Amino acid sequence: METNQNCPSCEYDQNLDLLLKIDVFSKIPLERLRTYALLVKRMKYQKDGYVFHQGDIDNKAYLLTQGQLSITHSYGDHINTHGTIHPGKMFGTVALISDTERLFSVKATEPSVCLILPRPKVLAELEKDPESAKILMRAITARITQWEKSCLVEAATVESCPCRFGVSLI
Amino acid sequence: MPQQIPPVTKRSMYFWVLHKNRPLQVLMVTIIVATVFMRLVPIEMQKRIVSDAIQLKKLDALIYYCMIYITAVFTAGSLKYILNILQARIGEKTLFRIRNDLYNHILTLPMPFFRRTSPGLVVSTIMQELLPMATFTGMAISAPLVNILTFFAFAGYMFYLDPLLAGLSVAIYPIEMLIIPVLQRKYNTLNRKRTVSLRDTSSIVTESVTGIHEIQGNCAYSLEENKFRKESHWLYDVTQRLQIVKFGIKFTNNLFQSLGPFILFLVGGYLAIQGKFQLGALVAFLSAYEKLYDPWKELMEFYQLYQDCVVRYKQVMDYFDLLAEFPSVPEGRSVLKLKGDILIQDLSFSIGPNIKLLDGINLHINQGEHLALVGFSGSGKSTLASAMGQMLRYTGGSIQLDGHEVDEMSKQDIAENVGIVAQHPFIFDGTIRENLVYSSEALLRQRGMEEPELPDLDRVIEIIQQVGLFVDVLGFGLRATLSKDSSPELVESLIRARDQFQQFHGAQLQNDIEFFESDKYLQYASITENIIFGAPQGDNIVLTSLHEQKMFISFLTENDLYEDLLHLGGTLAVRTVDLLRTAPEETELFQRSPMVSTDFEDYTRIVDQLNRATNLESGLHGLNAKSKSALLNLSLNFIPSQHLIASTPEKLLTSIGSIRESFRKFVEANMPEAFSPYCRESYIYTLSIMDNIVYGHIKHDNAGAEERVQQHINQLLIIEGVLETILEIGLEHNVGNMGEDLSGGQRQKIALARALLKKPPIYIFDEATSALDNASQTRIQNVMEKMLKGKATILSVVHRLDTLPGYDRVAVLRSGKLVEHGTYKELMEKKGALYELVHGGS
Repeated sequence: METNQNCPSCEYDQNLDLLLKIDVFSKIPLERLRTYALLVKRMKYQKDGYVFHQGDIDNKAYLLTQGQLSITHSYGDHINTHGTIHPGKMFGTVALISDTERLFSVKATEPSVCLILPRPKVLAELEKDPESAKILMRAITARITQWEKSCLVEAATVESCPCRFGVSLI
Repeated sequence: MPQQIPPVTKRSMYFWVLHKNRPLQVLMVTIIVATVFMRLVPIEMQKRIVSDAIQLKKLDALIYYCMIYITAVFTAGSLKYILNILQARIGEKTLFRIRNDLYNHILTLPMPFFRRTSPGLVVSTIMQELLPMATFTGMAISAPLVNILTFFAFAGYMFYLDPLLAGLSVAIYPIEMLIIPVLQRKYNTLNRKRTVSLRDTSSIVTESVTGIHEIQGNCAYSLEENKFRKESHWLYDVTQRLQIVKFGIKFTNNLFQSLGPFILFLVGGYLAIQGKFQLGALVAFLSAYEKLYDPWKELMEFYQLYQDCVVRYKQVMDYFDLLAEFPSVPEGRSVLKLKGDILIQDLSFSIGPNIKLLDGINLHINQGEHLALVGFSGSGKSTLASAMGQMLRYTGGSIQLDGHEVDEMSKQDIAENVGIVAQHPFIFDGTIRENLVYSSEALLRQRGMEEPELPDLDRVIEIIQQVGLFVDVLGFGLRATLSKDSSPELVESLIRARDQFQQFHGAQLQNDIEFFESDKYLQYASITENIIFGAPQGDNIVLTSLHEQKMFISFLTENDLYEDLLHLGGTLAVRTVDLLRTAPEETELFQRSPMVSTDFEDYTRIVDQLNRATNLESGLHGLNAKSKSALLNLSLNFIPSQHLIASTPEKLLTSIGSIRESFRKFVEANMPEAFSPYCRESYIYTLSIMDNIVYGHIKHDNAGAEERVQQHINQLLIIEGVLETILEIGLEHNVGNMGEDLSGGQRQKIALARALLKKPPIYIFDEATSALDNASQTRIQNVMEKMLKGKATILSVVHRLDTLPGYDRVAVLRSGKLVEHGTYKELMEKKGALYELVHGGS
């Protein structure tokens, strides 16, 4: 039996749809992902509002669905911008594995909306569903490899490669 | 001079029988003597009724003897009842004392004991294993006494009736007394083995559950199953042998018991036929013999209970028979009042023969000096902090506080002079205030104050401001709801604050708040709140049970809302059950649905019925009234911004203004004064204080909304003079089991405040601010520098190296050794271990 409310206007369905398109989650069994999608939240950020601050201990990843974010790092009085995050980009994935200190600040340069992705219980309690946990670990590892690969390509082609920074932001 | 009481684990079982129970035990002995006499009277009356009244046909004698008989039976019964009550009273009081003393002893045991012992085992040992001790101590004197006296009284009476017959029937008891103890000893041995085996089997299960990830990771099912099978088979084997012996004892008792009547009928019957024995005497004899068995049986049962207790009690006391590492209170001197000078000389801590976690550490921390302890992972920082705080006993060298060796101090000396904050502080179930004053209260009680004078509100506020907990506590206060008997002045102040808020901040915060507007649907409120747009006036109507209110349902039907809401309820139930049926049990998942986890089974049954239908509409049609009511309940509690699995019915969204108006008229006509609609002039008791002030709901999906709103509210609370009242409400917030309502940062702030409230001369922080955000970290750093520098000595295990310049000195540990120490500047210039740490070396 299908319910009439199973329509894309329902925010849960939209969230699930977005998760299915993210490489980290796309290979998770649908049944698990449907439950996980319940825990995903949307958060709106005002212009200049922070998604997180440098030094915060975080346990969530983020998917920017609207707006634009900037990545900044401060050391003493120096504040450097290390890049911009555009809609569709997922970031902060390492925190899905373990609590991570944020080495950068991420703030909204225009009103933005992020999907907040909490650490899936399968990772926190690996023993309950080792298969899904393994899939997630593989996906996150693949992202790290992909990051380094792009870095190496960039280093070979661009004179001052900025991507020495930000592995924790994959 | 009062007699010295031995430590709890060294006390014998009989110690408890008399300890503080002497007057009650004496009273019981007196009652017992009276009871035994009263038990004999009915038997003598039986003889007289048959021989002197019935056989001689004397009616008046019959009535006389019968009256004495019934009086004696009633008195004996009443005395037995009193005796039982006294036994239970002694037993339960003693159990309470044993548990209390043992619990106090366990709290003082060395930390390594707790590392190797599961909490469950300690709980079951205190709560379960000791239970029979209550029965034992209650019966320890009374049971043997009453039963031996009764036994000899009945036996003596039987000898008085006929010595030969009495001798023959009592002769079996000595034989039984030889056999039973042999069996009982066997039973005890097996029972001891059973207890040990039960504990071992339980340990295997506990270990498997705790280490399930290792088992599954190694696919060690067969290995673990083998371990468990071996142990549980041993348990089965021992228990079976135990049962054989147990029933053997029962069988022996029954057999010997049956031999008595056999002898009586044979010999007594012969004597009666021969006319050498009166029939009345034979009846009394049989009755006395039957009664002889009762005390014997009770004696046997008591003997078994005694033996069971011997085994259990010894095992429990042996298990906890460890000495506390440090005395609780100083002996022969008053508690030390230290200034805070710390001298560490050649300090070492070893585990096993060759593993040194601390190795030859020499360090002097002057009174009032702040020293940061840094090092690579596993360098011994926390071990050093623990040794200094007496959380472990160092194995070599010395730590002296103002010249006093830490190892020789009592726990109270440390508690009075040292404030310890761990990385993962423990938060107790209770209010924030109770958790804040925990250390202060503990200290005052340790000093012997029964009703300690705890830090007052001003002091608590001062400290929570210093650690940055002020806003958090105020937040808890603002999220609380007021009861209808709250002070009218407070309510008036909050309504005034509402006006001010709207006037000065309303426009600025409109993105953060969904204001109450009569024609706008509230996305952050339930459908119930959206429709009634008000609050019940009296106590007769409860918002959570509106789905059962006939009047409310008729309103929904009249306004064509009922079917839509039933449909929404059906959708919510189907989707929730579908998503959560196979999901692990998580409270968080249920927060995304209006369904309460305890009702999940009921809704599963409804959904199963709905799933059998061709579509939702026909499924809903076939439901009974109770199921429809449950679905209506779901939809009425549906909050669009929180429950994302369904959408609000279109009619509610588009016509909410007219629906509210219809409801208002409906209430006026049918339930006058049942509801009061939201209006700016009156306080809404169903909403939180914050929602009342903003006259709306905070948009929680707007990042930082609550903080921004709270910032503005704080100013208004100050103007209205109610900030302290709201703060007090916040301090009374219950943090839940192990502080589940608090974030990691809030826990650390509470732990810091706890230590600061105690005002000790020495602080030990073990990564005490690791969960704090940068702003809070800076605030704590400022407090340490401005308020404590020169006044209190601080040893702080530091994880955030950017905070190091704030310390007087830095000590760097590596592999348990102190590799360098000096000011931050000196060490950075030296470019040694600290420089390496700061620049990310490993």
